[in-house]
Amino acid sequence: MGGEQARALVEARLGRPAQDVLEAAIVLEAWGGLRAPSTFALGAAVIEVTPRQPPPERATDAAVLVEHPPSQGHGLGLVCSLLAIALWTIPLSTAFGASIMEQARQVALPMTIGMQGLVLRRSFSGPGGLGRLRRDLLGATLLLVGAVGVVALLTPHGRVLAGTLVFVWVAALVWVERGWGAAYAAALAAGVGALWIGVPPVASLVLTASLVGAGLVAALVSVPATSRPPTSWQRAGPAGLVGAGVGFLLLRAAGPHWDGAAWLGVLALFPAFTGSMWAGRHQARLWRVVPEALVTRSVRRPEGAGLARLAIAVFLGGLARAVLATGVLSLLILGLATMVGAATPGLAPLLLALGGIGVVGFVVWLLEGLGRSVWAVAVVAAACVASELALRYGLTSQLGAAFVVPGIAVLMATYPLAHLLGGIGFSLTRSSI
Amino acid sequence: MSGPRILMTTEGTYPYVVGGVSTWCKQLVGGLPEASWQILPITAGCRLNAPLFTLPPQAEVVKRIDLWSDEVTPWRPSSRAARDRTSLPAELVRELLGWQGRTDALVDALLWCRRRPERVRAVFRGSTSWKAFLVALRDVLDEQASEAGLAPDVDLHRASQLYQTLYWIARVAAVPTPPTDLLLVTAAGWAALPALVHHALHATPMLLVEHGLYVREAYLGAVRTDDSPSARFVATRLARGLTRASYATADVIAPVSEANADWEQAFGVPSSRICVIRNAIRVMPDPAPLPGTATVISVGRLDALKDIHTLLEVAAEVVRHVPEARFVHYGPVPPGQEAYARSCDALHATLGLGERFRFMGGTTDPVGVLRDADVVIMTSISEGFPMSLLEAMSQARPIVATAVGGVPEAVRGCSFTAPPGHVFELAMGVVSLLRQPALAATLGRRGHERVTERFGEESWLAQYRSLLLELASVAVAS
Repeated sequence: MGGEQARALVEARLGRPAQDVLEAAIVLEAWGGLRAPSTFALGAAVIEVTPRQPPPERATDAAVLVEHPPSQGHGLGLVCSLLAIALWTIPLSTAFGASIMEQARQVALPMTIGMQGLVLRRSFSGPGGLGRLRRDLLGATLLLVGAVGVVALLTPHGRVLAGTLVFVWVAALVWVERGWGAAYAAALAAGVGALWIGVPPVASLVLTASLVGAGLVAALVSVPATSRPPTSWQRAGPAGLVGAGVGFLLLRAAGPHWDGAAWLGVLALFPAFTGSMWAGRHQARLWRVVPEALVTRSVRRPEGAGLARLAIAVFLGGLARAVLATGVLSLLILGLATMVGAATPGLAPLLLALGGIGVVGFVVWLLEGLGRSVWAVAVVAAACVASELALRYGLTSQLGAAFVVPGIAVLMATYPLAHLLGGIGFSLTRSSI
Repeated sequence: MSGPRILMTTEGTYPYVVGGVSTWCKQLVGGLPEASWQILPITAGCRLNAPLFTLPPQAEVVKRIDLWSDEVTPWRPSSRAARDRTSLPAELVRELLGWQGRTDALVDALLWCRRRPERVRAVFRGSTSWKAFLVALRDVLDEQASEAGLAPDVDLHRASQLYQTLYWIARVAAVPTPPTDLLLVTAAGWAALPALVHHALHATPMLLVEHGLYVREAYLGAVRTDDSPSARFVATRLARGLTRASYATADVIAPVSEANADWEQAFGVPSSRICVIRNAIRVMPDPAPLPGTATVISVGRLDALKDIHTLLEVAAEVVRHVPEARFVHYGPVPPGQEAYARSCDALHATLGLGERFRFMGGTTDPVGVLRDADVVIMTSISEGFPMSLLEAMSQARPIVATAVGGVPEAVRGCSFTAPPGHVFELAMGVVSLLRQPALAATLGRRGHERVTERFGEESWLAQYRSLLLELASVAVAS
């Protein structure tokens, strides 16, 4: 067989010219019935008579560069569950007393957001989230039991309440991920209904926890366990710390002396949470649009400013959503409170303060998502310190949370964020390393 | 234990995955109890899976390397005086993907990873390293070599994936290996990385056993998938780089067939370093007769290299001639081959095979399932010296197979063979055997005689015992 004949055979089998001598030799062996080393000699002849032109590159599917973009759950279900959580605490506050409720909330909120951060990063950061959680069931169960136990220990006058809050709030993540956000809201409504018809508060808590627990189990058993292992504790740990830090900041923002109705204090969290979640969902686009853009760029050309502009546009879009949603919902709550006569002078500063912490959360979650966990933990730690110092030096907790804390956090995050967004292609590559 | 210590590195096989190479490892480790076996498996995506093989007392898994996992190298304090090697990714891409990559430079880069494991991640996370990597990749793409065609354009997305792959190569090289007398590498790919570094550090003898040829399988895999030119380029060049380094470093290469040996020589390995040891099997003296149920059985993972599409087409052709014929395929879907498995299901539906061809999934008893066969078929486009055919011969089952790799050496005189992808010839082989039970029985009996005479486990073990002890004694003496 001569070079031209061999080339014809190779191209007929491949539907294109051979990439190199090895490919030609392998095709000649596999489908031409020849054996090495004659295939090598013939392969060389094939390459010699093949016109030297680079193969046309066709666009590939932009498979995700980073296999674990932050998951943000399902929008509407998420809003339902957030609203339900905020509203559920109102009758609980009445039933258990504002003071016990406040103590429970002080411990349960940071623990819950920390746990949610941990679970999000460990199981839901990528496809098949519930399947990964199911595979990690023992570890997750032990963690949840441990968190509930710690919270109960730290709350001498409301152990059952604090433990249940953590359990019910953390479980919301699984219900929402399963697409059952509205059902979750219904489960909490059942607990509220029980209180209204005179069921004792602890029994109502047990009922709610049972319903939520049953849904949790149903959500997990209704999906198969995936072969994909959960994210390591080492990588998920910082997400937990960031969450706990944001929870602490939210508590500090609310301050020790809320002068209004307890239900309003809880409802005030809703705008910041919703704004932050919406912004986070938008931000997850980075993991889709950037790889799509990378596919169209050759390594022979520098990354260029286009990608950075794209990343910054997504970032600003997220920030705008956080501010817009928080602002509009805050105004709605102000209007509602005024209508029912529950508005107090402290309400507007409280909403502003919680909105400020929402912005901090948005920034640190982005840092964490882009693989800069140490920076994220440092920023949230500095924000916590700033919040304490602001109080010590005479600022009200709301003023501190509204201006000082976000100011410090944004200042600290500016450099790493600019660096990350400026070289977004490499930032996404690095976040998996 | 007084025998030599042997560090066996595996890649996607023993003891976590069932298959021909795993069976070979099990036979060898179990058959040489005088050695102390240290198993270093490299797997991908099955971190939590339990081993599928029970290790004998003389063997232990020293460390498991799970590629693509998100485990971070444990932090260790490091000297500030020592500078990071920000050129590491660039060096790896040049020496592994470059057509004229240098093995000594590659091994030097890998050695740095072993010496500074705690810095590997930091180096790859640095933007200086990334920029140097892109420059080096451009150099590789612009490289002029007469044997290589022009390289395709590579986009940044592909470059990013390659960068992450190189990070894992560095991670694997950084994994510490225990003191040992002999390195036994079971594939000239990722499994060679820890051995390359150990060999460079301690001059421990290295034996490379090649079953399927790593580089050939990588090329065939790339040919059979619908990947873009840049994806093919990266996958094949990487395999070529790893194979070249393995061949250059191994003291002895033990291919499982003459066909593999020819390839290794064509790659520049001198014949003095090549020692062919064909696979073997424990043979039972009285195999069961053919069942006479027109059952055709195949065993092999659902993988493009096994060419299941051809198998399905052969089945469709056979049932046209022998309507009562039934095909049964045993084999798991390995990670990464899900799309191929789906394409097999689609073709199965298109061909309307229904119950006449059944996918049974993996089996832990590959020999036992063959007892139900009147014919055993294999349609691979690449093989070393397939254990599944030896198993069929040990059960006196007639074989229809593609003449690839060491298959002709294994089944000469007791089978029908055809070139890969030749559906009609393969189908006619099956039809002939199903229609002529006497011929089938004769070929089966011949196969049993052949495997008993030539591929018995005892002589195979004796060959390995001799080779391993000889190599290990060099290390002990030095």
